[in-house]
Amino acid sequence: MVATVTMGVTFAVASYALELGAVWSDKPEQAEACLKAQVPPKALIVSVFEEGRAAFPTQVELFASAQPVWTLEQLREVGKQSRAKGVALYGALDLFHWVPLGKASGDDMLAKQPELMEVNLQRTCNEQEEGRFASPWNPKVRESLLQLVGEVATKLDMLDGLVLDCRLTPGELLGYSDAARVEFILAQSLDPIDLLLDTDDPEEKRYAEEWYRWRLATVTAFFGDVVEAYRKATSTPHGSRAPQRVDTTPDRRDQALPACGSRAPQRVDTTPSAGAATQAGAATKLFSRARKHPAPGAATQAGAATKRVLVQALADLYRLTPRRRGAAAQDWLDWVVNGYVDGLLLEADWAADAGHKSGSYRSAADLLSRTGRQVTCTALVDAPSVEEALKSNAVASLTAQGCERIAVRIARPLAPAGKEVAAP
Amino acid sequence: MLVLWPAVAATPDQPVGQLAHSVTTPAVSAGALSARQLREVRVPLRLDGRSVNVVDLERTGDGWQVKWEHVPVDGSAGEDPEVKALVDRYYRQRAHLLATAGEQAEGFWEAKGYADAAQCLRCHEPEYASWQRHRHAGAVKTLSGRERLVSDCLPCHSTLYRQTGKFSFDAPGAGLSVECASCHGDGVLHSLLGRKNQIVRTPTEETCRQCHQGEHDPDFDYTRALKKVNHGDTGNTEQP
Repeated sequence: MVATVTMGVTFAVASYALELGAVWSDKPEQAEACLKAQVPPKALIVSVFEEGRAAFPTQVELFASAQPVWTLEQLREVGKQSRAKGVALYGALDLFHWVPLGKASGDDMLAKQPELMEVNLQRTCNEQEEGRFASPWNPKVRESLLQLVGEVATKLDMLDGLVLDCRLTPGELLGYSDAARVEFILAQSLDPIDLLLDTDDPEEKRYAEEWYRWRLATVTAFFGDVVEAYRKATSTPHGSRAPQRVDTTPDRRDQALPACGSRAPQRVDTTPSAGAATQAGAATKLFSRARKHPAPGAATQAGAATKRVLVQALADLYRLTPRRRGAAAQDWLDWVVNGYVDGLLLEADWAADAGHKSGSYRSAADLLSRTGRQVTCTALVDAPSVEEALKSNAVASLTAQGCERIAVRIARPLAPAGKEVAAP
Repeated sequence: MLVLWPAVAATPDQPVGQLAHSVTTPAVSAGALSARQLREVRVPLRLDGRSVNVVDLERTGDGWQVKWEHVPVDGSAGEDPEVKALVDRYYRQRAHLLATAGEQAEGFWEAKGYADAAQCLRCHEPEYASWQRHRHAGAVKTLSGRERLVSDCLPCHSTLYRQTGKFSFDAPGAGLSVECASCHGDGVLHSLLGRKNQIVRTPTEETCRQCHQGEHDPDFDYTRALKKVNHGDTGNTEQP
């Protein structure tokens, strides 16, 4: 028995009154199949940094050893084809999630370099939750990622923008690595391991909340650096196909954290090893620099075409407790308000929303509307194919919530357009 | 040194050596060893809830000399307060993590459309206390005493009603009356992001006169009222 697999996107989309904002494919053959479809999507997303590996040849030392999925020639060809079809091409970078669920082993990247891994209070990373994460507070991780983004900006000039995923897991409180502890000690004279997170004591609760806020603020500062590095390196007059959007709103956020003056400083050893101190000093400088910057969009010259930055965002994030939001260290609403992002790719268990009074998409869209920012809002749906996505409960739920645009992340290889393949 | 390992799947017949290999990281350790060092040590143990594995580790050159003893617990040994505190803290924390793992509060902005006074209390305790002493905080009670809990009066006396169009005296937060959001804006983004520029710090005369007007308050004087409603000694009167 055979089945014909084609990407009849237009008709399926029309029946759901949805716009197919993007198709996300990880492999060159998927991308090509997508572009060969009779009516391609508006955008194609390809992973350029995933599972702690660059998908293209890179000079960044930390990531140079991985076997690239794409050659630069292949990416240029996809860029050429997408340009011919009027499809925007985005590169996706999953910044910290270096070892996905089920892929942790003694041989993975973070097992080999455990000092780069972010850990919980028990000094492990609970692989049952989401896998292993690199530490946003480790200077080597941050510097390597910034270098990589700089490389993406210059080498991958065929891209119209980035899709960034920048978070830890909300399900587990990571942030007890040496690097993270040193950073927080330097910032607040507090060691995270001394914080009592489950107490009713108001003072202790205040310190815990201080830590959650600090986590959000520091990762936001890093995210701002990433976006600025990319936009600065790519902001050449008339050099991009992406729609122009100049954001002149200055960043007025008072990001300085209030001092915890009443905390007894003697509880904390603030003299870490010489190496750690040097690293931490560099990191603090990095964060400080980010705080002083205006919003990246503000630096864009009027008339210059800017590449777009989209962010993968947990749709339910602001329904979570402050503790879990702090654990995720993602503050996409703040990033929108800061002008860091041009669009959101919202993630959630959309199918689980079905029948709920208030769905995750509607909730996130409500918050987004309150910012007054003109950013695109797209729901990300994981499916084996575009067609299966469009038939899924997830899309039905999204439609019911008033979602108008989806992106489909294809979880397994697509058959080339029009080719006959054996049915399972 | 005391080392406690997390529960491992084991049968009574399982060789202790094999069991030891299934152990990865101790849950609690009291002593000078790091978890990473302990992970390298293979120790046979039994976890049956009625005994303790006392493990003694001694540095010998590059490795560790391990002695262990399986001690049945009969309750006569008493408690070491220091160790008990450590273990209690650990289990409290685990329990809390478990409790919050599935915790997902419905977004307050979805239910009410504004940050209610309880949200503000999280960071503005003095201002909350000051507001509670003011008549704004008792506005629903005023109506209730006069049997005027009706749609004509509620918009000014209840922020909840004004924002949602619904009011039940028994509903959570119904008694909060004229809440912070009536004067300072909905406060949703301010509450979520903590930005000072996303809240109205001093309400305008126009805001006050939405309620303090006409026959309801013919002598309303904005400047005087502002002083009266000022959050006292909290110093929260500066201009935006």
